[in-house]
Amino acid sequence: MINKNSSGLVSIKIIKGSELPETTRAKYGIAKENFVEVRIERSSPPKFRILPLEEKESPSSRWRSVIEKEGLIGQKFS
Amino acid sequence: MEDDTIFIIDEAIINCFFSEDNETYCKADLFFNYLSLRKHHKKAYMIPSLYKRIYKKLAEKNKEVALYFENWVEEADFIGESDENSEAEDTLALLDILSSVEDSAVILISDKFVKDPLFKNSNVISVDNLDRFLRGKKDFMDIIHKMYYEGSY
Repeated sequence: MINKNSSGLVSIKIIKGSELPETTRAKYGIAKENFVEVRIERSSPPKFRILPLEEKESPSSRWRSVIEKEGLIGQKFS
Repeated sequence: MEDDTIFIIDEAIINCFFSEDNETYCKADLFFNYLSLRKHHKKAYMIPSLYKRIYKKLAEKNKEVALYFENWVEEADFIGESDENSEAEDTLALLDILSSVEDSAVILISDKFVKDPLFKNSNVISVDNLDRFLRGKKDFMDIIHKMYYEGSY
């Protein structure tokens, strides 16, 4: 069963500010070298959410945080 | 710091990322951050059957976890997997296909295939050797230290 809280979410991309259009960078105050999380949610039209990463927050840290939150630490795949 | 190396992964590096052991987790963390900092080949390939297995297991628990997985891992759905092939044969096929169509070096990161005779002529490295490979990249490590870790690596 898919978690209901994120059922409308279709994509999460961690990208550098340099990959965003200049106008978007200006709107959110994002530097080219900073990372942002782009979330796309299912709706018509699709909803985009741009969430800048905090200073000193590494690109993979949110993934690890949600793994911890869901009690998946120690999970093994084979 | 940019190199064109294309990476193929199996479950080893994913298991490291989910590990409760901090040192083990840091090895995978370093790899995924390395991919993010690149301009090209920002995802590692994985054979489809394994990709689907991991994605399904994660999505059943929480779709966000699966979507983050998707940010760093590409399902190599262009290879023709069959039930008659073993996982090792499918992985080798993926290595061969990428090596033949790409100009860049292709490296498989796998603890279980690193000593498999089937891969004796292939570029296969263990997670530990991947860690050494990345830590040997001074420019990358300088960026990592400066931007995120403040000396913890």
